[in-house]
Amino acid sequence: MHQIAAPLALECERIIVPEELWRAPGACGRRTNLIARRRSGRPVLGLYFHVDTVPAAPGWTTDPLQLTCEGDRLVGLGAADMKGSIAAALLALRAAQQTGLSLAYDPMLLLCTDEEAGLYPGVRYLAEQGRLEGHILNFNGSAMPRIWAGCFGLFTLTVRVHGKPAHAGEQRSAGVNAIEAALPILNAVAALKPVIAQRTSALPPAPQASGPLAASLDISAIHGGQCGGQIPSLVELLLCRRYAPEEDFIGARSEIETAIKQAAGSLDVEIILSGHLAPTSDPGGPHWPRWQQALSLGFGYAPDDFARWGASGCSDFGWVQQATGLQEVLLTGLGKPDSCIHAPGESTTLTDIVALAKSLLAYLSAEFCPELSPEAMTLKKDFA
Amino acid sequence: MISQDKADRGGVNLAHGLAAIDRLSATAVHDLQRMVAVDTSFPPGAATMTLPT
Repeated sequence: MHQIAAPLALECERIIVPEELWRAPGACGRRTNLIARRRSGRPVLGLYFHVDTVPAAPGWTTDPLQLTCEGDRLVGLGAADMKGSIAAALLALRAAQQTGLSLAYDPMLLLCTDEEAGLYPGVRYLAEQGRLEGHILNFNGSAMPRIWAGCFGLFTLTVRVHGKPAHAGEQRSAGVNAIEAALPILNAVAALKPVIAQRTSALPPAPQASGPLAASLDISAIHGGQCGGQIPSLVELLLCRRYAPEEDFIGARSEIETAIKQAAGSLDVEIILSGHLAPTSDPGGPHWPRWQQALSLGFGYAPDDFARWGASGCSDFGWVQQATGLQEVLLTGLGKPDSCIHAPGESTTLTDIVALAKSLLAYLSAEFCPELSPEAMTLKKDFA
Repeated sequence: MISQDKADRGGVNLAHGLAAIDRLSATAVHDLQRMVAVDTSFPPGAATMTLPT
């Protein structure tokens, strides 16, 4: 990322999240966040991106790590979520640089770790360290005419069920099969699923949604066993719980842990919190009208196209709101219903990247709708 | 060609910037190629395990 940002004459700083904050099952490697910014004394506009992706799911028919161009469509892991958005922002800054466009804001790119999973998102650390400035445009959203109403929280629990290894033939009575022992736990979780799914939120759903946004619990991964000749001694489950802003994290976590412990009986079971994103509360604020105008310029949306809705998908900006006290977060991105985000064939289009770049360039420009800029109007009042 | 509509909504300089985005759009594809080629999946390395064979 540093190499890509350097030609834009941005000042780059790497900030590493201390390991004791993010250490959790499955997490390894440095958590290096990059701040790339320009300083000229103007108000700051933070441009937030996460650089991690989910793993490529089985079913890709092309190499997920090699961008495939199919006409206008660009296929690759992270193309829509959200490396394509980074490419769009760099394109906008490149155009501003080449044309010497006067900007209303100093851009501050925040290229962050651990949004897709993990215990401690990079932007949370930056927020807690006081490294965020100005207002923020979050690119982890959709390319739709949407006014963000907030989103659910999410946590993952890693559940380790320990058995006892033994030869599966002669010494089988000496072993304890961890996979078979985990079945009552899986059944208990499955029984909890429909109970949790009945809890709905007052957050407005997307216009095309079939009903209200609801909480959920998923068994997201199971790992265990190695070969037929061995009684498996360990099975590891990953549970993912999405909780509505109206719910309480501690209560939601306790509900699952209690169900697991009751089902486990005397089994040796560990339950570890391995990921957590707090809910994002209403991120509305004074910069939204100008951002909507910018989106209209880039994507061609009409004023009536815009609608306000929330999501059961999650964001790391709940932590940012908690750490900074700043509620307003602008949201955009490249997600569309046909983007296959988190699935084989994830894609975006060059048309959308260009439209997003134009939206950002307009928003950054000092010439664009100054009457809608809270900073410009404040200056005007000061000089009046 | 800078459209009058764009110039009206943002000014001539912005219109030039918007036109530059069209001219430079291939650089975005190149940047995206470079980023997609780096496996940043979580858990790390999982993507390489599911490459088509």
